[in-house]
Amino acid sequence: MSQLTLGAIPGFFDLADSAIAAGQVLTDSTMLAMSHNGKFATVRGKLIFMGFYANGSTVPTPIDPDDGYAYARTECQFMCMIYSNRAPAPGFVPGQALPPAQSSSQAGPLYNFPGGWAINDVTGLVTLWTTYYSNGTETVNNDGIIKVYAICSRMSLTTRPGPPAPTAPTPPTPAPPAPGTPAPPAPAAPVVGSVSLTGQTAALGSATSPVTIFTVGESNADFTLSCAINVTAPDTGVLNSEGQPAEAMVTLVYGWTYPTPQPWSGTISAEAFDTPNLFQGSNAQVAAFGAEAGTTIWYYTIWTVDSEIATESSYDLSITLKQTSS
Amino acid sequence: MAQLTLAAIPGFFDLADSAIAAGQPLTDDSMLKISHNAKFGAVRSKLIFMGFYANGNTVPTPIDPDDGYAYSRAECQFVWMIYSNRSPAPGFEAGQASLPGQSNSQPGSLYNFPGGWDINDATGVVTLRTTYWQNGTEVVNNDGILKVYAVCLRLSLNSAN
Repeated sequence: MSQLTLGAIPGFFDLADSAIAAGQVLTDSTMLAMSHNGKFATVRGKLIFMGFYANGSTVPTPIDPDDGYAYARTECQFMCMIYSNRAPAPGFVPGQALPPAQSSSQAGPLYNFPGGWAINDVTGLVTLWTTYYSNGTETVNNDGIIKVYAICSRMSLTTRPGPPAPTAPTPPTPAPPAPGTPAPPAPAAPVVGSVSLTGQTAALGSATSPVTIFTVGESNADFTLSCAINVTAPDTGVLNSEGQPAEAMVTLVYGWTYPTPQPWSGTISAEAFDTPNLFQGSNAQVAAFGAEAGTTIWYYTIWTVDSEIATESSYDLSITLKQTSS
Repeated sequence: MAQLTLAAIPGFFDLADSAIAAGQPLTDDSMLKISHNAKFGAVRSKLIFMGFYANGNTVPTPIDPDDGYAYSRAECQFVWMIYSNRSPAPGFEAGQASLPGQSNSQPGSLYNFPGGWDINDATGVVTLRTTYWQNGTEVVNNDGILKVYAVCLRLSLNSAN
């Protein structure tokens, strides 16, 4: 079996029946339109394998092997199958075609699974939440591996504005304490690191270098990291070069690097479209984790914006790191 | 609604625009190619139900009900839904269309699930790995049942693994 190959990308023409009615001259333009329509129908709908992905990865848009057509985001919708509940083993490359090895362990028996797994069709961002239950405690993380296909349809606006990434599952609320003497309030956890930035912009498609928020001292400790981002784009209806609503998006990548055995990171993202009433995005997230002595906690951002609105778009960012035990 | 039926399997021809340009004679060859391309466009892409499968089974390639076209492996990609974490009950046949019965027990609570579930698009082989948590120990086996569809695309080399 061979690969279908076209010498040029075909177009589509809504040819009126009257153009080929009896008594009419059959023109070359009518014949060309019919020919192109036949070719267009042949290549329009497609399922394209995109590879394996984990949390925080971004699934790109595909190139059609038939004629080299580069799909726009609005022409792609992503479907996925759950390959594993576990994180990938070291060496995993997002988008790899071969089934990846998975981590050799997990935090406990599965509890909330999947706990909000989605691919944002607008951005391609993969968000996976998985929880485990061990020793009476629910552990929340971003484990998981999915196998992804793009369902492509040329000349279509199949994707809706993506909702914010799913929020982390919330462990069940503990039972209220028995009546009695109220316990004194626990002391507030000290803030050991914070970041607050407003009106940020950067060069197109840039990723800033990781910035260290805090380095754990000589003892292990527990932390909560709260982060929030918000994107603001003009609300005037400007279209980008592809004829789609111009958009801006920021992804906040935060993580901690242990001395051993391997780093961990998570992401949240927010986006905004330059179309009145379409979407102005913000997102927030809280993560709780234990960190070994010497762990470095850091963040960086990835900022992408259509050039048509680059000078008028910006994002705000805040991060608060609290040490809850030592 | 009736089943679309073609008497012959249509081909595809990358007809050059110059063949139907002004001043050129319009030939039966060009007209036939345009006709075939339209038919080909109608049948090229398809979702075909393949049935239920368990670990170690091989999903075959389908025959198109429109025109009897036999798809090659390179033209098929398989998508699936998890029907059960358990193994099939006795009597299960790979590819059966009816809902299969499942085993009436499992070793413990689910632990690593799925633990690497995949259908190899190049071979059709189904690989399922499932683990359970039993008395503080992880029990590993190949339990599971999938409901499988083939996404078919004629004249393509689209399988990647």
